Amino acid sequence: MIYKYEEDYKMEILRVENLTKTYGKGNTAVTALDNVSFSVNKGEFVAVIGPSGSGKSTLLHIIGGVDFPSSGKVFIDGTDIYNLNETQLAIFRRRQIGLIYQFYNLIPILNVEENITLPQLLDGGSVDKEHLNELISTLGLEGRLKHLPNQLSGGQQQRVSIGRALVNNPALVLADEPTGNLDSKNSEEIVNLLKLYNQMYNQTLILITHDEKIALQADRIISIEDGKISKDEVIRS
Amino acid sequence: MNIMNRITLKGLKKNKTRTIVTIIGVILSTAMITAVTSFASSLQHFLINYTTYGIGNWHIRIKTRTIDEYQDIIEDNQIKKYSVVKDGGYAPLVGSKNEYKPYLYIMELDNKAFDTLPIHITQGRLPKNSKEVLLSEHILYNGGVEFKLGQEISLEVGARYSDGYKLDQQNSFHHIDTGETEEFIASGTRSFTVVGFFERFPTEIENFAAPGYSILTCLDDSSLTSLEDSDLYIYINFKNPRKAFNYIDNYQDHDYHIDSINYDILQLEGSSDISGFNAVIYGLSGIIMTIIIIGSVALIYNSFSISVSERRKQFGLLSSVGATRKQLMNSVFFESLFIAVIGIPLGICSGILGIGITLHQLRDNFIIMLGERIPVELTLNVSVPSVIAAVIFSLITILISAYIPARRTKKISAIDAVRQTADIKLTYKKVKTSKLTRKIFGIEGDLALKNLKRNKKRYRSTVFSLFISVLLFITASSFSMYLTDSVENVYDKYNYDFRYAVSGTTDISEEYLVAYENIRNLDGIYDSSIIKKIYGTAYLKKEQLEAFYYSDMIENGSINDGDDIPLHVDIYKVDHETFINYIEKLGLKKDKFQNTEEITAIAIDRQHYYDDKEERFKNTKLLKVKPDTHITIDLNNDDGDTISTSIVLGAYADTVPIGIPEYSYDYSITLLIDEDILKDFDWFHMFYMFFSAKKPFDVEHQIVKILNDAGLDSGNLYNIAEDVEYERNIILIIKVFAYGFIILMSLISVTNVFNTITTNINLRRREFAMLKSVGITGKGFNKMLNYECIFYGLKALIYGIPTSIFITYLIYLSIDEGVETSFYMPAHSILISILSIFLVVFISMMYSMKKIRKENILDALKNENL
Repeated sequence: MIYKYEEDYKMEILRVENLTKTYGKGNTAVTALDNVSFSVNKGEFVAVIGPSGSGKSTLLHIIGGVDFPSSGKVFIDGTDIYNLNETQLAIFRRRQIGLIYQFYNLIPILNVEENITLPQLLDGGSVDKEHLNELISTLGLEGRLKHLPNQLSGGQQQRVSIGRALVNNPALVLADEPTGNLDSKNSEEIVNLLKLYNQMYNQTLILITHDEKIALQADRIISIEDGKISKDEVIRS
Repeated sequence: MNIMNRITLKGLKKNKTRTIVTIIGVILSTAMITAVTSFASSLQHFLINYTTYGIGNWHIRIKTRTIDEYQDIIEDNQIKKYSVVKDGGYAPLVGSKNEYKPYLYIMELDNKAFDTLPIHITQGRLPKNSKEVLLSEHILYNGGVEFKLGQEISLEVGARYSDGYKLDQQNSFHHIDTGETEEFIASGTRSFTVVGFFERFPTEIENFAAPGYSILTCLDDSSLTSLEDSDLYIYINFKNPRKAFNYIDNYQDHDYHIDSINYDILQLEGSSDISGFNAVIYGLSGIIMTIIIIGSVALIYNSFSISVSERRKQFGLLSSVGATRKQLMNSVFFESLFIAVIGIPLGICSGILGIGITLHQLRDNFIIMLGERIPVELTLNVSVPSVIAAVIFSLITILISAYIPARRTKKISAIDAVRQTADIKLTYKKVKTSKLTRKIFGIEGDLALKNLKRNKKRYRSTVFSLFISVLLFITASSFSMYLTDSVENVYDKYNYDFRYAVSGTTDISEEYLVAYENIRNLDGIYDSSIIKKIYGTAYLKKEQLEAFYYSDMIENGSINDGDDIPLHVDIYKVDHETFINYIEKLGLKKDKFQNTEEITAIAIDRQHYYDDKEERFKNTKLLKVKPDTHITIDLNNDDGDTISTSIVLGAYADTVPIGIPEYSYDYSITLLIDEDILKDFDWFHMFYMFFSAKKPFDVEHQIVKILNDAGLDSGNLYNIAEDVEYERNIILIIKVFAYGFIILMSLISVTNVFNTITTNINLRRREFAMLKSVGITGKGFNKMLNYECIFYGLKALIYGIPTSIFITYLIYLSIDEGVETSFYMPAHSILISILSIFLVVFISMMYSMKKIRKENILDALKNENL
């Protein structure tokens, strides 16, 4: 890993402590996450794998601050995110977390540019044109800026959602099966893009996938079964 | 129940709010239709009762002279029922004071005729045989001949002839003065026992000019076998009143003729000759029905189109597992029938209940509106056909509203429906907003505006609903404001409650003064005056008048420059007592105005008129004459002679005694003079007595009695209070219905808006979640929604307010035709509508957001992804 800076190497960006999530009550209670703890260092590319219903999506959403844990804590860049109030959490999400979903979840009435810059617009700040142009050219979305999501292919839409996740240079990018809805060519492109950002900008990335080929490109693979971490192996460092 | 219907019901249950709102919409529109039709039928029923009370329940009266004709007429199958009145001949009324009514006229009624004719007994009972008689009470109060209950009377019965022709009640008395003569030929005597008295018949039965006072007895059935020389009157009701005029036209050729037609009843029962009140009723109901129909179709259609577009994905899934188009359509119809089965009966009940209560509350006002106090009440009358019509109409509206959006789903392929790709075809242009929007309102405002633009149809229908409410509310309140205003104007014109007026040709005998004193002494009369009015013309110099009057007179060619200028003068001779009181109130010296050598008057020089050029009311004066100046006035007496007299203008006044107008007529002045000092001028053009009463209705009949007792015509008495009361009732009724209608229409609009907004919010749940996950804060989120509300409201008001002001202006123009008034902004109602519009929108938004706000972001995201 020649790109990674020495001082960043051991810097912890995410720490998950005893995270538990149960749905329902009493006999019908289902435990989606069972006392999960781990941490991720800055610049790491972590793949999370596991069978359907193992709790990997729940884990990702709790880390992303869009779902709530039943117990346990999540620290991102030293901030206990579930100690924040609703507004603080929203602002934190907007600035420090980039979420990428399987179904893109773009806002249909906003064009490509607006969708990408939405977190910045919500922040009320001005858009850094240079940064945006760089992002757009990296994503290969030149000439599509004024298009609405329904005028784009699936791969293009997912690239827009990656753009949106990255636009604020967040501490953490979380991707929930970003290629699950795409063909293999588009999947490869998307993964390459994410890897590029991980390597070029030392962007920390946690990605859920079913695809072993994609998982093997990560620095580290966390396997989840029945709400517990069954394996945590570092592929390369 | 098949699986499709089960799915449908589950869908309705899941979208509970929308289902309830749709049902409320159906209830409202059905209720309104039922209320309008029930009101129309109640009013019709009431008017028929009212007319029956006054004129009787018959359509036409045929007069015949032979039994054969009689048989012919009654055997016609167009006739529903008939009753017979036989002419029993005339008998001279000894001592009749009315020269034109010197007879009694005997009417022999068969049993049915006692029900058909409007006989209202004031004393006693109906006759039971041909030896008993019921007398019209105007024999006493008009003819001045008194009969007593139980009195035996013996009448010399006969017939009237003129030049050999037999005359009847339609031929008025051939008085010597008219140059014609008639002859009474007696044929025998009949004796009767007086068993009662009844109210005078209406002119349709006893012509006003008829020479005989009606007296009623029973028809001896055996006398129908031969008519001898008597006429027979047949009162007929048709099976189909609509065809009455055909019958009437066809009978023109016959010998026997149609002698009287009850137009009122025929019109009310829907004969082809529609006019007047009926036309207004039908016209108004038509307009109101149209507005209701537009409103309810819009609401119900909207609800179903929302439901169907939401179910489109479900339809796609169902059809991909093999549901046929027919099954899908049936599911939509099932849904609509379910709504109808609950909504329509509730709507009918609440409509009937609502109008029933309204009519109950207003029943007295309706009676007074018709100007008389009669024992007929306006009660609820629910006509079965109108209820059936309401049911059918609502059902059709619902089915059509369900069918059209459902048909649209047919065109979409199953997979498109599942993917929901075809639902909204967005283009960038469609949702484009100006850069300014983002600058002014921020990203939240920009998002709000784009959200409205994404579904133009829904946006438009919401704005339209709000717009209609604003329009109806403002214009209806302007309308009733102008109406109230014009009536108040009329009321303000009078400073008295009763006026008794006769023209100057009448000989004002001592009787008038006696009656005046008697009326004054009644309890509750607190002010009165006797006023005699004389018209005159004053000739004034240029410098004695305001310049504009002089230039106007030059301009319209009435005078040449340098002439003396004529000015119309109304001189009121006020009775001494009233005049002295008046002088004292003004704080003037009595003696000055009591000088018989130098007649001194108080001048009222105030004009209140509407200036067309300046478009407002103006108050002006005409005279520049200083007090205590002599002016010469030409007075025309009743012989046509002109008498010049000099009068001193003693003082100017702004207040007037009872009976004198507060303002002079255009281009004229008013002079008030004590009657006692103008004794030389004993002629006048008009004679008035004015009275003010605490409770005008309570003393009215006493005043009438005093006038009658004094031998004066009580027809010259005018009750202002009655007039005003009448108009107030009309206004109240109009207001109740106008506001009732507006409230119901607004409810429909509100339901519509609520429905659209809640659905709109529901459909965007995933987006909301998305926005949250990219970090929109609660505050930002509220900001976005509030902007959406404001944009909705603003748009509705931007269209609504100018249109309403324009229509208010049109109302002003039409009112102005009749009553001079000025245009004013309906500011009050504009303010109310602005507030209510935003209230409705915000509440709808808040309601639908309440659930969503609590929702977990992920649940929303997952929910839609399934």
